[in-house]
Amino acid sequence: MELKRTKSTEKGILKKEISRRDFIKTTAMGAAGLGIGSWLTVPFTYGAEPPIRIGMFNEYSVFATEYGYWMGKVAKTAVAKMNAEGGIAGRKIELFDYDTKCDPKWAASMFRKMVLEDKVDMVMGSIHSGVQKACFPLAEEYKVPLFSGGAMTYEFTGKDAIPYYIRNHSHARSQALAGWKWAFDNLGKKWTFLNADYAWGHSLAREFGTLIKAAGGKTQDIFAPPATADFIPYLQKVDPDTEVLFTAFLGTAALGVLRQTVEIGLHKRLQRYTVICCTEGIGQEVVGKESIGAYYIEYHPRHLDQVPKELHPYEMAYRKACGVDENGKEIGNPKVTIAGSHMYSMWIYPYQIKLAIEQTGWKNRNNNADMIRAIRSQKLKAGPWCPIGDLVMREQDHQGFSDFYISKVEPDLKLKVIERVPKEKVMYPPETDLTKKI
Amino acid sequence: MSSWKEKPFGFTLIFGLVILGLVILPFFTELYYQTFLTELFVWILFAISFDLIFGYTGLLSFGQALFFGIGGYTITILTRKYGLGTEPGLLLCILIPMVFAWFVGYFSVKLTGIHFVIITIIFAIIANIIGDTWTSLTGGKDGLTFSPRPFRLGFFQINLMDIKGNYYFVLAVVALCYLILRRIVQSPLGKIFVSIRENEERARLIGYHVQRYKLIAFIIAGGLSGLAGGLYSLTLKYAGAGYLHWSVSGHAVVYTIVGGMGTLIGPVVGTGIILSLEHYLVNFLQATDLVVGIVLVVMVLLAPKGIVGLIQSRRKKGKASA
Amino acid sequence: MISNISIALMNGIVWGLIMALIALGLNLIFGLLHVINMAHGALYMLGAVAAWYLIELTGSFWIALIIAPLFVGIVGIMIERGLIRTIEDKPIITIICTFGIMLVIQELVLMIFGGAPRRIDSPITQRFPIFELQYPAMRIMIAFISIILMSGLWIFLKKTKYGLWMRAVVQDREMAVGLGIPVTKVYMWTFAVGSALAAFSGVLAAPIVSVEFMMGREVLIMAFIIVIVGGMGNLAGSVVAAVLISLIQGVGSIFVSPSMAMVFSLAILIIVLLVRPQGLFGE
Repeated sequence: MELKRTKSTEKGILKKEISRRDFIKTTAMGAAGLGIGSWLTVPFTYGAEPPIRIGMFNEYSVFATEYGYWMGKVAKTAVAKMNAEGGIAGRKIELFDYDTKCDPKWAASMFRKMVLEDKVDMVMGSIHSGVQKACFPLAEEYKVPLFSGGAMTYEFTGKDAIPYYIRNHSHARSQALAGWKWAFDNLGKKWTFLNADYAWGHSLAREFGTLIKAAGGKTQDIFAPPATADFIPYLQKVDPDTEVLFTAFLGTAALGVLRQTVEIGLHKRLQRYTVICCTEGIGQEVVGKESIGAYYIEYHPRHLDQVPKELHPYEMAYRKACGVDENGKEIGNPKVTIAGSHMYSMWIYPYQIKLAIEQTGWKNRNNNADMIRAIRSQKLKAGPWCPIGDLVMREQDHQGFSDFYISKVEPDLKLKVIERVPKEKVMYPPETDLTKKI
Repeated sequence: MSSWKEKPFGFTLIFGLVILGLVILPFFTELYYQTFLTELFVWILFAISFDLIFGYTGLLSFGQALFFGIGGYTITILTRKYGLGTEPGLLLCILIPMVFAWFVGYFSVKLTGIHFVIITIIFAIIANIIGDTWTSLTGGKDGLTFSPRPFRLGFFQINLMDIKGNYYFVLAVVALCYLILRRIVQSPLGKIFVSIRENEERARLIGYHVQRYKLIAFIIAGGLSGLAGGLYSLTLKYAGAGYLHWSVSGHAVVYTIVGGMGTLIGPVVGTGIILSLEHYLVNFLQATDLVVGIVLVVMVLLAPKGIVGLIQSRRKKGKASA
Repeated sequence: MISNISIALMNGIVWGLIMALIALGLNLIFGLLHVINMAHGALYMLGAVAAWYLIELTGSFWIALIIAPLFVGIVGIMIERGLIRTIEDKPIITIICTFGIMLVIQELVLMIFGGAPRRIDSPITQRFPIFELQYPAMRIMIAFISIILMSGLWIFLKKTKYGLWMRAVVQDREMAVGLGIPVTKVYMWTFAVGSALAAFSGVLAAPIVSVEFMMGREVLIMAFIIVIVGGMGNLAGSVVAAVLISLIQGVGSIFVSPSMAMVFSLAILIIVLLVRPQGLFGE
C-alpha cells in the first residue's frame, strides 16, 4: 500500500503533468526569463531537465517575524545566486515560500501542499520547533528531507531523530556546551536561570544547569510565563549571592527582562548572560543601553569586524549578496537588524543540497535517501557558500557543528566577540544512530 | 432547514449525491486535494458539533478547543505510550472528551450569556497552560508524533498512513456524524434545544430542566469535537499543545458564523469557503488572517445569519411574492 | 525578604494601576453598550504603535502620550459608528465582530509596522533605592498619571453633561431615551473614551514592555479577568480588582511557579464566576 502511494506521487512528477497553474507559472516565468535573459545576454541555458523544487516555510506572521524575514530573504538570495551561477547539475532551482503562522497545524498543511501540490523535492526553514515536529511524520511518509531553519530542541537530533531531518545549526545542548565553561571560569560559579516557562526555557536551564552543577557550581531556577510583561516579581526572587543571571525569553519579553534587571539595579551586583536567540533580529539600540555589559552566546558574529579574519572575504560577499552592512543592518533600512546567528543555515542548505546532488547524481525525489546519506557525511570548508567557517555534519544524528562565539555588549552597543569556542568543544556523543535506518 | 425537513426525500437525494461525488473524487484529483479535503472534513465535523451548542442551543462556547485537543491527545498518547489500536482509540476520543465536557459543562451551564463565553474560555486557557507545561505527557509546544496502526473494519482494511485510506475513513466518519447530528436536531430533543435558545425562561416555565438539556448538548458537542481532534491527529500523526488554544475554538466560530448558524449545513458551507479561501490566498498573499477578519466582520454586519441564512431568506421572499 | 515583599507590594500597586486603566476602558464599553470588545487589546497595541511613530516624529514621549490616545479614540469612533452600531443589541454577535476587528488591526499593524518588537525609551531614567534593590521612578510616574486619568474619568462621569447621560443610560436605557438623552451619541463617545483609555495604557506600558503587534493578546485576557472579578459595569470594582490581582500575583510569585499560579488564579476566577457572577464588589 505504502509503495503504491509513493509511486502514484512520483508518477505525477515523472509524467511532467502540466496543471493549469503550472502552465501559467511556467509561461510567466519563461516570459520573464526571456526578458531578463535578452538583457543580461544569458550566461548559460538551462537544460531540458525540470527544475529542482525546494519548499520553504518561515515565520512571517504571529511571532518571531524578525527571524522569518531574514530566513526567507537569505534563502531567496542564495537560490537566485545559485541559479545565476548555473543552477544545480544544469537544472534551475525553484523556491516555494509559505508562512507557518507559528501554528504546527497550519504548517503541516503547508508542508503537504508543498510536497503534493507544488511537488517540491525537499523542504527547509522555520525556527519553530512545534512546526518541525508536526512535519516529522509527513517528512517520513513522503520521504522528503526537512532541513531545520533554526529549531532549538536538541532531541530532534537526539532521541526523537528521524532519518529525513537535517540540522546544520546549533541547539540548546550545543549552546550550553559552548557557553558554560568560559562563563563559569570568568563570570561566576553561582548561577540563576530566569527562563521562559516552556520547553525551550526549561531545556536551556537543564542543559546549562547540569554542566554547572557537575563542575561544582550552584544553580537556581526561576521560570516566568513566556509573554511576561512585568519581570520585577521574578527578578526580586534572584538569590542575593547569585553571580550570573542567565535569561531566556523571546520577543518583547526578552527586551523587558534585560531592561528591568537594570531598572531595579541588579546589573550592578551580577553578570547577565543569555543566548543571542533572545534578541536576534532586534538591534542592540532597540534592546537599549540597559544591555550594556551583558554577555551573549552568538553562533555567528553580528558585526563584520568581529568575524574571524580568515573568514572576512567570504563574509563580505555573503553580506553584500544579502544586503547587509558591516554592522549587521539591512542596507537602505538601518532599523532592520540581521538574524545573523540563524539565517546562515538557509544560505548553506542550498549549497549542501547542490554538493549532494552533484555527488550522487540525484535525479528526483526517488533518490532522496542518497541525498541524505551524502549530506550527513559532508565536511564543509569555509568558503563563499559556508561563510561561518568549517561546518561538520555528523552521520549518526544528522547534526551539524560549527564554531560558537561569546560576545559582550560594549558601551557603544556593539556586540564584541571576546571568545571563540571551536566546534570540537561542543561535540557531544551522538544519542542515536540513523545510519542504521537509512 | 425548514424546506428540507418538509422534503426528507430531497435531502436524502442531495446528501447521497454529494457523498457519491466525494467518493469518486479521489480518482480524478491530485493527492494534495485529497489531503486538503480530509482536513476540511475534520474541520466540518468540528464546526457542526459547535453549531449544536451555539446555533441550536444558543451557547457561545470558546472552550471547544479543549475537547478538540483532548481528543487529539487521547489517540496520540494511547497509541504512542500504550500501543492501543486505532478503533478503540477513536472510541475513547469521543468518550474521554465527553467526560471532560461533562465536568466543564456542569459548571458552565449554570451561567448564561457573556459569563458563559468567559468561563469556557477560562477552561480552555487552563487546559492550554497545562498542555504547555506538562511536557512529559503532552510534549508541550513541540507536541508528540505517532504512527496509527492499520485496522480492519468489516470488509475494509483501513490504513491511515495511506492518503486515500485516510480520506475515505474521515469522509465516512464525518458523514455519519452529520447524519447523527441531523437526527438529533430534528428529534424532540433538538426542539428543546431550540426552544432554550429562543426563550430560556419560557422553556423553563413549560417545565424543561433547562440546565440539564444544555449540559446534554454540551456533552454531545464535546464528544464530537473530541472525535474531530482525534481524526485530525490521525491525519497529521501529530498532536500538540496548540490544539488546546482557545483560538482553535475561534475557527469553529468563524466557520459557523460565515456559513450560517443553527442550520448544520451552514457550518459545512462556511468551513468550505473559509478554508478554500485561505489555501487559495496563501499562493500569493502572506496575510490570510487579514482577509478572514474582513470576511468575518462583513458577514456579521451584512448577513448575520450567514450564507445559508441569506439564501433561505431570499428563497422565502421569492415564495412570498410568488 | 523585607525588601522583596516591599518591592512586590509597591510593584503590585503600580502595575495594578496600569492594568486598571485597560480594564476601565473595557468595562466602560461593556457597562454602557453591553459589548464585549475583543479588539480592546488590539486598541491598546495600536496606542503603543501610534506612540512609537509619534516619538520618532517629535522625539517627545509626552506629546505621544496625548496624541496617540486621541488617534485611537478616533479609530474607536469609526469602529462604533461604522461597524458596531448596527449590531449593538446583539451581545454575542458583537463578540464575534470585534474578534474580526482584532484580526484586522493586528494584521494591518504587522504589514505596516513590521513584526519585530520596537522600543520606546523611558523619559525618566532615575531610580530610587528600596533596601538593597532599586525601583524605577518612571513606574511611579506611570502610576501617578494613571491616577490622574482615572480621577479625570471620575470627574467626567460625575460633573459633566455627558457623564450624567452615560450614568443615566447605564441605569435605565429606556428611561434615558424617554428623557431625550441622545443615546446613540452617548454610545459613540463611550466607545471613543474606552478606546482612548486602552491607548493611554498602551503608551504608558510601552517603555516597560516594548511595542509589538501581538502585545495586546495577553493583556486582553488579564483585563477580562479584572473586569469579571471587579464586576461587569462596576468601574470602581475594576480598579480595586486590578490592584488586588496584581498584588496577589506579585506576592504569590515569590512562592509558587508562575504557570501553576496562573492555573490556580484561573480556578479561583471560575469560582468567582459561579458564586458571584456580578463580581466580588458588585451589589
